[in-house]
Amino acid sequence: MKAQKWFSVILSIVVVFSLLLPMAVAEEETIKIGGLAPLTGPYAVYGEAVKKGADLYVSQLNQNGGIDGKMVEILWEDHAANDAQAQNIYYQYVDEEEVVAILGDVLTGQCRIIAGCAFEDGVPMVTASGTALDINVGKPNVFRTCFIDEFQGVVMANFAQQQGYENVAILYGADSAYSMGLYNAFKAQAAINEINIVAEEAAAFTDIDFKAQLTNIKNADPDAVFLPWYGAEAALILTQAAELGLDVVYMGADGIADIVDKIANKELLTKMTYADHFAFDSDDEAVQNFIADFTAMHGEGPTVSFSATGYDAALVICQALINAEVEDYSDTEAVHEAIVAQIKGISAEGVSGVISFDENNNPIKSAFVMTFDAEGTKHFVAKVDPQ
Amino acid sequence: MSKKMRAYILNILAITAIFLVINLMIDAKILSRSNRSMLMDVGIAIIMATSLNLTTGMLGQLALGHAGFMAIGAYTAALVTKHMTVDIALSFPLGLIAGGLVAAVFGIIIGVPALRLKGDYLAIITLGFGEIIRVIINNLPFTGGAMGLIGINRATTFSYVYVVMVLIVISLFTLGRSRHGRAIISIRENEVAAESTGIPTTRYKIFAFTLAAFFAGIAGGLYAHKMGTLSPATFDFNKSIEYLVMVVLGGMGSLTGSIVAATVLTMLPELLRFLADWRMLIYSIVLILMMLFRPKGLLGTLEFSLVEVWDFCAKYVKKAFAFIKKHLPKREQKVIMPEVPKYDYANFNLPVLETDKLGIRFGGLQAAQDVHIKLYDNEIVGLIGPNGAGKTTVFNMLTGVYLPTEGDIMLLGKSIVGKATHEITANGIARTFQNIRLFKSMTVLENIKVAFQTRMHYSVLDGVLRTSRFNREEMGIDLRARELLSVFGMENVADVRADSLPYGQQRKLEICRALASNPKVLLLDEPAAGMNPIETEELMKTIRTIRERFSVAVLLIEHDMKLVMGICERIYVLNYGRILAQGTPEEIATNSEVVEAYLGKSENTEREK
Repeated sequence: MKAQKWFSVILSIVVVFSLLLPMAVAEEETIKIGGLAPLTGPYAVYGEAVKKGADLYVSQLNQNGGIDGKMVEILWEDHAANDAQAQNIYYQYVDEEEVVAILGDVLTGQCRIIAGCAFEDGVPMVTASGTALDINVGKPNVFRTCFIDEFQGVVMANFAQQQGYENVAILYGADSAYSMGLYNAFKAQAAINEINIVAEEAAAFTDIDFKAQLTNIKNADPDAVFLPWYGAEAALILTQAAELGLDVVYMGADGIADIVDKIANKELLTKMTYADHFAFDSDDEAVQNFIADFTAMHGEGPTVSFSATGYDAALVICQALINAEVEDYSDTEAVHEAIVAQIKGISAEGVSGVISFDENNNPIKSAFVMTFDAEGTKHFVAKVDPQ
Repeated sequence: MSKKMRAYILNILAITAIFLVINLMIDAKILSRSNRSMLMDVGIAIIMATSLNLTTGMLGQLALGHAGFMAIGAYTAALVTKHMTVDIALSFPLGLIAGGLVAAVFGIIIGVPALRLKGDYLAIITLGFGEIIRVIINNLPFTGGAMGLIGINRATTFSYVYVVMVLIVISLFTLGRSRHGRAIISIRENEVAAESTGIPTTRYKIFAFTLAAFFAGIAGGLYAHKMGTLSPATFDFNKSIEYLVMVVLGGMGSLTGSIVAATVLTMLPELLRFLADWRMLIYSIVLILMMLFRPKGLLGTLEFSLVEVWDFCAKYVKKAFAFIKKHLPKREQKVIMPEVPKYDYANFNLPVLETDKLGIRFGGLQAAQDVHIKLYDNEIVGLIGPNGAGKTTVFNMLTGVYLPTEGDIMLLGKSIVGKATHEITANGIARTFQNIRLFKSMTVLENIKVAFQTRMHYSVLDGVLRTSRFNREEMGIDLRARELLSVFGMENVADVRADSLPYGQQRKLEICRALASNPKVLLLDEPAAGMNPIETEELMKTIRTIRERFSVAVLLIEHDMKLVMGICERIYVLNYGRILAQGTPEEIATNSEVVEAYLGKSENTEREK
């Protein structure tokens, strides 16, 4: 009884004191960028990938003397993919830390919220992983270094034409913005490329049995099947298709990237090709240097392509700052405006290719078509251009 | 000046002071946007937690879909402000109200079928509901689907959240301390007893559930206009659990507990930021520790009262209050006494209660058959019989718990078959239970007050706004309830929790509660069960007092033959669901069939005959 009372008292004191704790902010002569990412919880993999890539660029930049002798620092605060926390951190960055730009957010949901705030405040924002089309629509200060969902649909339809697939079937998720976006874009480009869509089957992301749809697809006898899904669902689909004896090749988009850990029979993956933001086994010198530096800094190689787009996002922001030749960092509004103007016209050499932006602030860059070997290792197949 | 008045003044002062201080700090730019944003999150969390406390804490029903109502409110409010062409200053409050109302409608739709179930079942239904809402929002054409709704006017300000939050919390407080609140809490304490005390339990359950949904809808509207963007994934199962954790941590049924927990849990992740990677781990550990050391929550069912603190630390300020009191205009309070029901029966020779060929069949089992019982005014009648004879079944039919499959029950010449228990109570039958069913965590006085429910009239709004009608009626039942307690010599324990009374007094309180509804017929189910001889002696005295003081006919089930023979004027003997014999105690005591039913037929007695 007494112990409980004491515990309550101590707890109350701790809570009260923590309320009074002032936010300890070290004032230094550094240029601050606000990094927003989920660093705990189920989406931490993506957040960490972006963070590690961006941190790598900044550490390289600082080793070479920073910007005009000033060091650059990316602040990282975890919001565990919680909307309200993300918004709070954003306000903290912009009002209290007076950041020059926002790097992030990582997931589409928080990207939308932060983009709304950043647009109102005129703060430049560059996301490395928000692929949904509407994030930066009508927001001239919001950019991304990854390509949009729709673009991948176009890329894969072009790839199908290159491979000479004549009849293609689609199995899509009707309840997902991601899947619907890819499906519509793929279908439209397929029509242009004169590819026959022989079957269109819908399923839901919560489904675990796809056999009915796969049977219909099998009866349509396609050359290839387009699967706009994430790894977990795609693994189920591939396994069940093999059980039904469906012997075709499969195509997907960047959602497939994490399929390796989720499928038991890795041999099935050899039939899968998908579009990714980056190819780690590309023989490009910039890519190999990036992987070597990344491994040296973090002790392990990059596994998710968002590490590369994160690196590029940091690069875009810093390059814009260098180009802007800012002298007075105290006038944050002017700094923000200068950065936005510089990013718009940028043409920088990033790890995922030369980066420049189209009129909608989306990157003009190539996609990488990837496949797997029987051990589940990713292999580069082809580079496909948007046109 | 009464404590109540002091509490009012203090609370109003504190609420205004907090509001002014925070607004001044915002104006002086001491509080940044992120501080303000966090304070708004706290306010929204408080609305969610306190409203969930209405269903989970006060009503005692575990609901896991509170975020679903929030989602409905959020989307409705956002769509209203997006599509109304009027100024946001007008469309925003309209949107909030619309959000609340639509959420309330869904509350009724889900509540009517779901609240027939209890405990785990309700939890599962509400859980399913929360998920369905998310799926529906995902697929509707006008909600933006999985892409979400963007471009919502960010009209929510700290002042807005604060004012709405204060209004909602105050109305929950005042509601909780009105007859409606008592009715809701009595359902949590003991649903069967509440129903038989005259509380329309179904109606109150739906009412509480709907009101909670309404408030959650408003919170959703505030949230939508704070974030500026909505996506269905926000309102998932985890969100509901988050609010449930606040309620459990704060203490089920304690509104102030919910407020404290909502504040702490919303701010904690931010305050623990200096721990960096350890943040969420420490947060979880704090949760576990709090539950281990305070399993009933921070405040249990207690409420933190500013006035108690005040009285404790600043007694001398009373002088100042006394001064104010002297200069306040004095007002005579008129008291409205609960009406005494006028039973419409002219002929005193007719029985007040009469059953005709009453019987019930549970599947293949005929539990009672052909039961004729007549009860005249001011009579004490016993209903005895061996275990399993069907005595309690008869009581359950009389009070509408079971629907008889044959026969009729006439109360004051009118049939009451097919009526709900609480209606039958209002018509004049009150009962006690074999195993005591008190509203345990309520005080003795409150237990009695619940029973006045059927004869009070002030509305929910009267209760929330504390109108003079509320005050008069509450003062009236306070007087009546204390009067009733004093008849049984219990006035000194009026403010004691019911479950801390000794056994004998608990029995007495249950009888007292039954009498509070001014019944014409009082059914006592084994009142002497578990009592020692001294307590039984006192019980007999009590039953005689009842007869002297209240014009009521008593029908009692009892095994204690000393008690039955001592006070009953007539006795019915029930065996295998049928009336075996009836008559005066002397007749029954010598009836060979009765003796046989109790003791069994002995071969010796057979031979002696």
